[in-house]
Amino acid sequence: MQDVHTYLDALGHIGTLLIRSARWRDVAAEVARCVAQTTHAQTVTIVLNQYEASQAWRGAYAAQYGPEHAAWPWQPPLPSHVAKTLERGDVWRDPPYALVPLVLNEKWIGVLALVAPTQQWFSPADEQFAVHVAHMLAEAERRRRESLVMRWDALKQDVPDRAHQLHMYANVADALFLCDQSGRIVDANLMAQVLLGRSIDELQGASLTSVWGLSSFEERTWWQEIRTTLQQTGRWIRRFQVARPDGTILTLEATVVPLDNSEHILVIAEDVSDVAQAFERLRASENRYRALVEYAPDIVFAMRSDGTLLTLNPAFETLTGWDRDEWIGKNVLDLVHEDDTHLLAEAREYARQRRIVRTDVRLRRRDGAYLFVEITAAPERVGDAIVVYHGIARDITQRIAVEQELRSQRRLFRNLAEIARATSRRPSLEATLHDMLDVACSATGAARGSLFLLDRAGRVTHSILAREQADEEEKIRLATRAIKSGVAGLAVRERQVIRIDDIANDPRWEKYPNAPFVEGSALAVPISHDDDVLGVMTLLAGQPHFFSEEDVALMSAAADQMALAVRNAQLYEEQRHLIRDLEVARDAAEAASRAKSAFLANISHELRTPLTVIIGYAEMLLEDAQELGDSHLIHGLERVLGAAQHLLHVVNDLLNLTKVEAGISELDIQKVDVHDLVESIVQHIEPLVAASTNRFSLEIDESVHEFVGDVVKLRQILLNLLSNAIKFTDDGEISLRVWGERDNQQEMLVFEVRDTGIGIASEHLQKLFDPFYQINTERNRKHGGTGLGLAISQRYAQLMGGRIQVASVVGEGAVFTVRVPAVVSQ
Amino acid sequence: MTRILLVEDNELNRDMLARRLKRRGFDVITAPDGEAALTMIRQHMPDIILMDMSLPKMDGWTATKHIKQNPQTAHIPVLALTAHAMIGDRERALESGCDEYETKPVDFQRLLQKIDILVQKSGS
Repeated sequence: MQDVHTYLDALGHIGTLLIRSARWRDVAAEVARCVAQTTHAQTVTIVLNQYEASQAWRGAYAAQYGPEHAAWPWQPPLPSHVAKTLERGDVWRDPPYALVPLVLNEKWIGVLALVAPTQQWFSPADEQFAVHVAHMLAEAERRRRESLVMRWDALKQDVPDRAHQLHMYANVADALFLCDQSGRIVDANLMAQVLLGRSIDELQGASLTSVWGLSSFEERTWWQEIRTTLQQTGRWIRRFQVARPDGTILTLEATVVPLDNSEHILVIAEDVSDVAQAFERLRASENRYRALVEYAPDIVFAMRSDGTLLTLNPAFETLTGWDRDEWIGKNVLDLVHEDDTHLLAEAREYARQRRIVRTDVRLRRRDGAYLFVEITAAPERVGDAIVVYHGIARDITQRIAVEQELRSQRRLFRNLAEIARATSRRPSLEATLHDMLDVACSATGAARGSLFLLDRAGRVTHSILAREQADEEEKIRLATRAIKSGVAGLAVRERQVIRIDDIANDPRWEKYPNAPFVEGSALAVPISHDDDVLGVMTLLAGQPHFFSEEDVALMSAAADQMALAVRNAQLYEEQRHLIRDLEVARDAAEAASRAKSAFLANISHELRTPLTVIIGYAEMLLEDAQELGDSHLIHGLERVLGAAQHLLHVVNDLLNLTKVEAGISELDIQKVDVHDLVESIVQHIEPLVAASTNRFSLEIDESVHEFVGDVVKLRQILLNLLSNAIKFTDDGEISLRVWGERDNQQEMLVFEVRDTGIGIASEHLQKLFDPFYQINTERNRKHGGTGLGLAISQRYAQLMGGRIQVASVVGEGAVFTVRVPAVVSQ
Repeated sequence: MTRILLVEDNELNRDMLARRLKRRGFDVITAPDGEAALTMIRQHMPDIILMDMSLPKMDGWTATKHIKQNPQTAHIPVLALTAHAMIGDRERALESGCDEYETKPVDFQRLLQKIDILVQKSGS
């Protein structure tokens, strides 16, 4: 499959060929060649003028490109099934053969036949192209016939119905025969005599078809056909070959028309063979050609095979500014750019096997500038040797400029993409910049390259060299010197690109004894981000005028990319530091937390073991004392036991708090009936209430059923709140109310512990749930407590997805409200 | 008389608990470590074992595994005693085959209830 432009170019070329008034055979051969080249067909054959379909493959009117078509699977005429397909206007496919019909006025008039390359078939695009070419060929034929008909119609009006007057048309380029209805020749003009090689005497009275060399059978059928056709359409056209007495073969195209008001018919025969060109036609075409040459916008030239210019048209003067006379007789090589002369030599070599050669060269204009031309030339041979070239040179400066622009843009984009890729390839900034500098050097072709990064004070932090070896110290020294007094420093200070086209003659170029080049060019591009100059890239080349505008544009873009890479790297570095600091802090915190937990776990173990012993022995001794009835001893042992149990309580609370804080406290989810739970709690606190002077009331909503969660922890919370309430209330009311409510689609259980005790001042309310926070009161000291109960309760409630809220008025009492989900998730 | 094997490395604790249990009418034998415990079990076939978990030579978890893997001793209930009140201690004790679990310092009344239940369960 070809690029679409290949097809378009080919169609354009064929279109141009077909409107040329060149010889049919040449035109068709060039069309065939072009089709073969475009579709890669092995062989392309064009057969035209099949007024009769079955006559395909009659060779005289075929043009062919490629090997002989002996490879065709059949001899003419075409098999009927093939002919039928073509008559319908369809392409006939039998790999490797493809036949495309040439259709005119819904009639099949020829074939474009292609033989596909070995082991391949044509792409749909190839086929489309071939169909289009066939259409163009048919269209060209239509145009040609129309012009013929116009000519003949004019003749018809002129030719009188008198045989002896036909000689008046001696100068007419076509052969004219006047025949009677049976086909006998009544008169013929001079051209008829010349073409057929017979005198008027030989022709008069002879049968036209026998003169043409047809068999008696053909003669009969043809006249039959001619008469029928004339009755229907008034015109009969056929091409055929005629053998002249001297043995030469002519191809004639005969048109038979009836004459107005006459029993005679006029037969006009045109020599369409390429052997003999009618003199008149030649002259007419030469005139046309001359006019074309004169007014053509392209240079039309003829030159000898050695390059000596023979003719030039006015366009030469317009396009080059030279006088034609200055160059006629001179060699074309003196006009051509010295770098392009080899192209002409190649074209000349190529011309040995070709009919047309083409090449693009630059011609020197009078003003010294160069003109890009596309030369198309046809060699004229004498025998095998080329004598003269006829050709056209078309100004393609515009096209070349556009192409170059496109090419350079494409290169620019490619290089930019390469640079962008380099920014993302490497892990370290140093490596990334090294890659980018390498790309910059190869994109511009620079011999040396350097890239310096600067800190805010203008000190060199990175020195990267391309295509040059140096140790770190040497690199930094070089960089510092370049920044201080070199072109790199100039670019940094002026914040713009500095291009030195000729370092030998530019005062901006600082000469160092060990500079790599004595002459050459330099390009320094600052790398800046926002208003900060981050660094500078310098490229050096050994030739003056080395760096182009395009290089400047590309390197400026590259410098932008580099700036981004540098900024990214800096940000990345900053972020990494930040993350590292955070990680260190987090690790330290985690380690501290782990150490704290382990310490507390150990401490609690170390405290519990002796406490076990103390409590155990105290209990044992108490039992002994109770047996003995020694009240003094009992009193003392009860105190020991009380203190030990308080200590144990503190240790347990501490441990529980630690577990919650360390995040190692887990929920032990169980299902319990809320009524049962509340009942067991009430049972537990009843002795405490009884020992106090308070009254207790319980109110539990009937709608409350189950609690699924950590029952032990919930129980601990409620016991804690109730015992606090009892502790801080005298002669008052303590109540527990339980109900259910919905909060954000979640079923919640609410436990409200209310007392009419001393209350809590607002300044304490906030800190009430902090660990070890105790309101320093007489009562508190009296009751003791660890100061951890509320802290643990709040954390347990939160652990279950709930919370404890408190409201209080000093002197009136306090309300603690526990809300926990009815179903706690793990 | 119900025979209790008390395995406890802390001498004071061992002595105290043994004395209190004897007072309640139990036949109490003691061992200071896991290895000694296994020997005592072979020799005296206790009805229940109170097993401290942090023990020298062989810890309580290992000793319990041995007891529960031996078909001759597997039926003897083991009540784990531990001062580790941290998460996982209970699970770890039950995993190694202990039948019950009690945190030190023991609530003596509750301990007695548990012993009763376990002994009745294994006897029936």
